[in-house]
Amino acid sequence: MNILKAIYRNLKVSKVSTTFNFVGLITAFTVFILIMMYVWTEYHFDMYHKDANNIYRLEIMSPEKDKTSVYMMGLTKDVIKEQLSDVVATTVYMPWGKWGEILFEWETNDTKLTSYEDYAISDKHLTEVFTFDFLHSTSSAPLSEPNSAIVSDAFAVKFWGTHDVIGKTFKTNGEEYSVTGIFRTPPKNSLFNEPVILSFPTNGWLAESYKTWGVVNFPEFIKVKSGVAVHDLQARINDIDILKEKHSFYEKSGVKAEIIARPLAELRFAKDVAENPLFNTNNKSSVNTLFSVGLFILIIALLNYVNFATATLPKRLKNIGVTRILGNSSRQIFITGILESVLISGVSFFVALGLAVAVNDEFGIKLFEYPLDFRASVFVIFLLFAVAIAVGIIGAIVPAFSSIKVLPMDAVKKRHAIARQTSRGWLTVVQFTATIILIAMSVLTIKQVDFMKNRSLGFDKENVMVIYPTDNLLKNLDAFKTAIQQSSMVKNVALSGGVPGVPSNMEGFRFNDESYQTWLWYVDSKYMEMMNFNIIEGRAFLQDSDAEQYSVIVNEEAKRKYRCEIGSHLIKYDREGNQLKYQIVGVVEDFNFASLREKVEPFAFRCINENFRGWVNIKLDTEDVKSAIGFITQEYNKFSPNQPIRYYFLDDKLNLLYSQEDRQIGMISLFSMLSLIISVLGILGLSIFTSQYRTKEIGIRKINGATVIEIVTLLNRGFVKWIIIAFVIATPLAYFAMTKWLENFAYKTALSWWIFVLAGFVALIVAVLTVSWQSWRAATKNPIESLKYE
Amino acid sequence: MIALKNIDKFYDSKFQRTFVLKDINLEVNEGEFLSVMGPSGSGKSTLLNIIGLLDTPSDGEYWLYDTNVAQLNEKNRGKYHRDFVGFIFQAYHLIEEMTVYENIETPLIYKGVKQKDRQAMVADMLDRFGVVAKKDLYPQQLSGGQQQLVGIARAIVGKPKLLLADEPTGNLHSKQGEMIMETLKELHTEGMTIIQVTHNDKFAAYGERIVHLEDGLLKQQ
Repeated sequence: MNILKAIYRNLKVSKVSTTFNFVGLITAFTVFILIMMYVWTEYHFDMYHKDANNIYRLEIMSPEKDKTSVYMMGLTKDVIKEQLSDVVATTVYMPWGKWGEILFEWETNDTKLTSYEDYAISDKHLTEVFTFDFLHSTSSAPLSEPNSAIVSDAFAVKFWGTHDVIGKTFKTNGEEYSVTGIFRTPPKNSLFNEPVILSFPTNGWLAESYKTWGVVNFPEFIKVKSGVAVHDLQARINDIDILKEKHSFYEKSGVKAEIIARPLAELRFAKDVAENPLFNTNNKSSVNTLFSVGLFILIIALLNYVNFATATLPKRLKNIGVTRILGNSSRQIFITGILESVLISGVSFFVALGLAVAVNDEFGIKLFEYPLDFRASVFVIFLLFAVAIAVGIIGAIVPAFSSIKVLPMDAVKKRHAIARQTSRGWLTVVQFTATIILIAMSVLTIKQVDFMKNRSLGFDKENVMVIYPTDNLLKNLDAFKTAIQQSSMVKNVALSGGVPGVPSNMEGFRFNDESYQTWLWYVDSKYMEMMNFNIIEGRAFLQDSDAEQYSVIVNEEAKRKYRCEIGSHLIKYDREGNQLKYQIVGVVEDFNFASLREKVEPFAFRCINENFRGWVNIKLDTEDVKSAIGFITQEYNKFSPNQPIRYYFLDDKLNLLYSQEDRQIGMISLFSMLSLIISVLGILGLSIFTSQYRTKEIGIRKINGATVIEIVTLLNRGFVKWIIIAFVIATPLAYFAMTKWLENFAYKTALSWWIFVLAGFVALIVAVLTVSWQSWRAATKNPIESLKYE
Repeated sequence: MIALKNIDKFYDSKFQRTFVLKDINLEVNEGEFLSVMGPSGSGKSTLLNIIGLLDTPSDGEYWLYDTNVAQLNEKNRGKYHRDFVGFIFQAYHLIEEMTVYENIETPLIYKGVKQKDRQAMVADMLDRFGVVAKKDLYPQQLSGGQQQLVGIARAIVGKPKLLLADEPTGNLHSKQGEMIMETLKELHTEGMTIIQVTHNDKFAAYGERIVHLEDGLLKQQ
């Protein structure tokens, strides 16, 4: 009890320091907790599955490609299971909803309802490989029956308002499905974020192509026995004869394709996978950077803490000296000092935890893509708590030792070196170095995203409304096109097999005896002109000409890479083995059909004259977008009445490509602001102490004629020096960090000099204002009072 | 009770050895009231600090009863401060963040006295020095004389055998100073051994015996 009273009294000795310590620590801990929880979650995606360490995803690594593909030939996994005794289970999992949500129809309370939903397709072995937390299920392998489906609890509630949904049915994609299992929605950090998983079809194209070697379409997962080494596993997989034979198609100049087994733990950060949007991924370097930022902020706060502790020491030393004369023991003093510090950091931690949980819901999604799950990671919280306590102890050690080393009489009479140390220059330097770097990074991030969003992509992305094609719409497409083009709001309509920003179709060609894989879109003859692609050689597709179906237009990169020309022929083989020749009639300027993180790859357009299953692109010519949408929807409903219209705007969709970077902007800006706040707290505290210690000096100077301005300048000078040093150190470090970050993008904005200057300037201004404010207060005090103080 | 034998205190710098105290031999009997006089810089405070175990002599012996305490270890020194001696300072050195009550109470906490007993003992002190009404005030709210009274109360609440006073009236005007000296005289009558350091003749005379310290050397009278 007495120790607590003593601690409380100690804290009252310097209320300024105590307040700043709490504010600084609480702020830093809140951020630290959020970041560390996030980092831990990112590194533990999907580790909740049983035997997570033994689960792998199969991928194909083709020669001369820098990305792998998750599309396997169907029978691959079956062959592997058959031939390798170490493989205990395999499954196929196709999150096809990522290509486009499909319409679900169901009945509840005698009402028919429809909704577009995200979905996946898997087989009966899904539950052998992965762990689902079933609330109810008909068996341990609920996808065994044909036309069965398992749904998440959220889905069940949305559709039928209850968890009791075994046996309920719904229709989708022309089939009726029956629910055989309901599972708890997996943690946010999971591979499986589809609310409904349909069983693998037993007939139809998908079932047939699964059995056909030569069709790559199926993401597959395998589970092995414990203790299997991945290199060994891969070697044995690639050694299987039939796989070697079937994958020889990929062979190029003697280099074979390889099957990779990628561990579940690495899927989150697997960046070099071509079909990334299918599975949720994240940038490992961003996560690691965030980790460093978290540590950074903690260190800055710790430095502040130590700073204040040592700065307030003289005042407290006096009291400590008095109590030692009264009989207090060194041991008691030391323990009290450490305890006091641990108490402060402990309390700060709990307040910070509360704050973190409170802001989690709001900020979680904005910053991290998902709200953090605190309950799932209690272990991590304990770890962080231990760190907080460690911070408390570390912060207290040096002052505690000082307090017992100084002789009581010296402490009482303030005859020790500590009283004279008022400038903690190097601490300020470290804090402001971090702040300047963070500010520079946030400016750069904003600049880069702005650059990406506004950079000309090689086509016109504005005012393009893209409609998902339904069967009914396609059947009546010509009528629909005519109908909407009646309005002056609609400039043009065209069909395309792909849309910028959505990775889609790749096809193989032979040219000059080499095999190539190229991104390829089928388009109608109007598309390229409508989107304003720049044809730099040859010609565009002829309108309404059947002959054009054997013409292709390639991009510059294709021309460069394949060394082809106008008039060259690209060869394909049809199913019967007949040769088909496609002639290059034009070359289009390179355009960005994916995000600006990627370099432009070879691309080709093919023209189809009749209506095909593709996106309906509508170029609008009006400011009144709302009316245009209304009108088009009206017309759409006439032709496709039972299926609600689904559309998006191209520029919005493209901006979504950078949602990750938008989040990064949010995060980095937040952290640089925090760093600035903590540094300001540090420098404010320091200037308060400094002016307190120099009260007598200031008083004397004033009596001798110094003006307020001169005194403020005098007190500022020390701090400005440290800021400048911080700037000098920060600039090359920031430059290095920024260059590394820009490596993530094929198209980069310039690393302008003014970014650094701006960052340094902001830091300087803030510091000068802070210190000046405090110095001004000290300088305007009546000098007589300052002298009486002593 | 106290015997200092050949006590030296010096500081060594690059070229010379500066003596603050030189060959001090002093005996103090139990129940004595001793005044140590001397000009500023004569080493009075250093002598008092050595006697109070707040400083260690560079050479010589310090016998307390029959123990040489010159180089006592930390733990025993703590015991000495807790149980044996009380200090009064010129600048009072009260803890500003504690009330009068808490200031007086502090030595008892270190002695391990229970709450109830502490209350009783502190109440006695407050009563004796007539500061009951001021018990919840902070030192800054008291006059110099009152603060020193509190200082004395704090020093004697634990019933020490020895009371050391370093210029107790230095910050006070004559009227207050007298009051303090009267209090010390009272305590002496009650049997307390008191050693005070002062450079005021009038107040030095309150003591039974006066010794003079000049340039580190003791001159008896």
